[in-house]
Amino acid sequence: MLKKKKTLYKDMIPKEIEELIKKDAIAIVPIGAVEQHGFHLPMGTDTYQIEAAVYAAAEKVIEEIPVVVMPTLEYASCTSTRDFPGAITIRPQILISLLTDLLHDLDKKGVKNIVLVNGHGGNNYIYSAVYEAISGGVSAKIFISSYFAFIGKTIQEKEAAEDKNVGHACQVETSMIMYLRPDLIRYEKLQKGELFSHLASKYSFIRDTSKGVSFVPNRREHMKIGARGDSRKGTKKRGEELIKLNINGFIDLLHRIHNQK
Amino acid sequence: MKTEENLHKRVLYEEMTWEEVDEAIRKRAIAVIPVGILENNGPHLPVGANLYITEEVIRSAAQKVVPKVPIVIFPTLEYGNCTADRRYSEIVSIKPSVLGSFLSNLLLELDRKGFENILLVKCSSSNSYILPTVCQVKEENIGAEIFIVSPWAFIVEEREKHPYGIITAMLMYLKPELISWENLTKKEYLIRKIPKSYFMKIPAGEYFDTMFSGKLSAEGVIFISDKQNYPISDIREDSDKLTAQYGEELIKHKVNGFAEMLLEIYEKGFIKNMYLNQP
Repeated sequence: MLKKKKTLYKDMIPKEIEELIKKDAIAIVPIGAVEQHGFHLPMGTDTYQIEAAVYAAAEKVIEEIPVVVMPTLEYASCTSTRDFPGAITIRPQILISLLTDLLHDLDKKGVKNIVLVNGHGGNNYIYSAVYEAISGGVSAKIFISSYFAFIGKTIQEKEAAEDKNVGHACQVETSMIMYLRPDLIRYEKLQKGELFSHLASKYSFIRDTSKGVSFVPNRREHMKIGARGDSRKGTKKRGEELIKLNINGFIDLLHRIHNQK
Repeated sequence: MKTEENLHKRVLYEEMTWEEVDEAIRKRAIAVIPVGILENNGPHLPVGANLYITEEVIRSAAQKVVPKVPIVIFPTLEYGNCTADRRYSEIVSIKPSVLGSFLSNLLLELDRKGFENILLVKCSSSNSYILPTVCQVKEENIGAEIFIVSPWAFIVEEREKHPYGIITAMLMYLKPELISWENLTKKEYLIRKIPKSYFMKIPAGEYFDTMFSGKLSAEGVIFISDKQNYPISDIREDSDKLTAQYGEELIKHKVNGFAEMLLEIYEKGFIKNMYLNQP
């Protein structure tokens, strides 16, 4: 029986990595978070979602496209949720330095294409790291994608159209974890997550992105349970649909990068 | 298994909800952070070999002591600094200053959350940034106690007998599918004689991390090695001893020692075996 090709960097022996670099392998860097996701979802929700899609896509294409999945950057920037117990936030400046250094090192090793896949909405630092790396002389092509890239449209058409409160640890994320890690759902705690209405209206007064005004709130003050949306509406079937859309999206992306001239 | 029973065994931070983390902090849970590395462990072992060994030991030890000792295991810091491997084209290494800032931020964050005891578990002898970072953080009057555990804790004597073989043996037991068996050959350990002129004196007591750190730093002399010029193999002339069974014995020994240590930290707030604190 033919041995299955490895996709995870940490599983490879030095020679396997060296050969992949020579074959112009695409390096994928998943970027997750440890953050509160309501009373019912685990802290690693963002990481599970992004790793599931990236790992599966890499395994699907490995026979045709050389890819290597680097270890996930699991710690993130959780500025607005930093006061929730459990949400671990690292200062953006430090994350920028870490990711920039990694990009430089991959470039130095000879990697020509790098895909950063973000699983967490608060990781705005990624663009800064890419700008830093390019400004610092990194010549590898760097692509940025996210967990939302291939499912945003369907969520807008379905969940967001039915419930404008969809946002965090909601029916969307609950569905995906129901599919990926049903053992980690606290089913007895599924409930509707809302913002404190009086504070939400207060914030809406000063936060109006349509008029170019933004504001970084402290979500501990106005997000009751660390979730926004109705997790009771989550289903395993919808989770499977979304995860498969993501996997197919990443497969397509890897093909496009591989075929670029 | 019922949810309540399951919760007693849930020790991975990423699997917990924020309510459970809050509860764990109130119960004075020990925060355990595996500090990892991706490095060249010889031609037959994966670059993440030390990650798998450390994670297995920590998780198994935690299962032995919870719920008596509340434990929270944080996601492993998988990227590390590997100066000795820097010329290998395949080994990813992050600068010590960057990793130091990152670890410092993480420790301060856990302190802010209310963790009283934090245990840093080194996956490898590399990562020399850890100790200076902890010293720096302590200067900032962090309230939490911070412990550093050596990768060789509880198997120090075995490591002296088989300095490079024990990683192979432990991985034979844990992840045999990741070993490149065709590269597992009986080899002599190759080391060139290092010219004395390369040596650099360092202040006594200062800590540096190289493949020779233990021996040379005790003499107050250090040499930052380059494994490409001074290649190592994970297998020495005693490779007959390297079996999955031997690996299992080593892992079990480490797990038992680790579990005992967790209990000691929780109950007494200190570690009696001084070697645990040595890098």
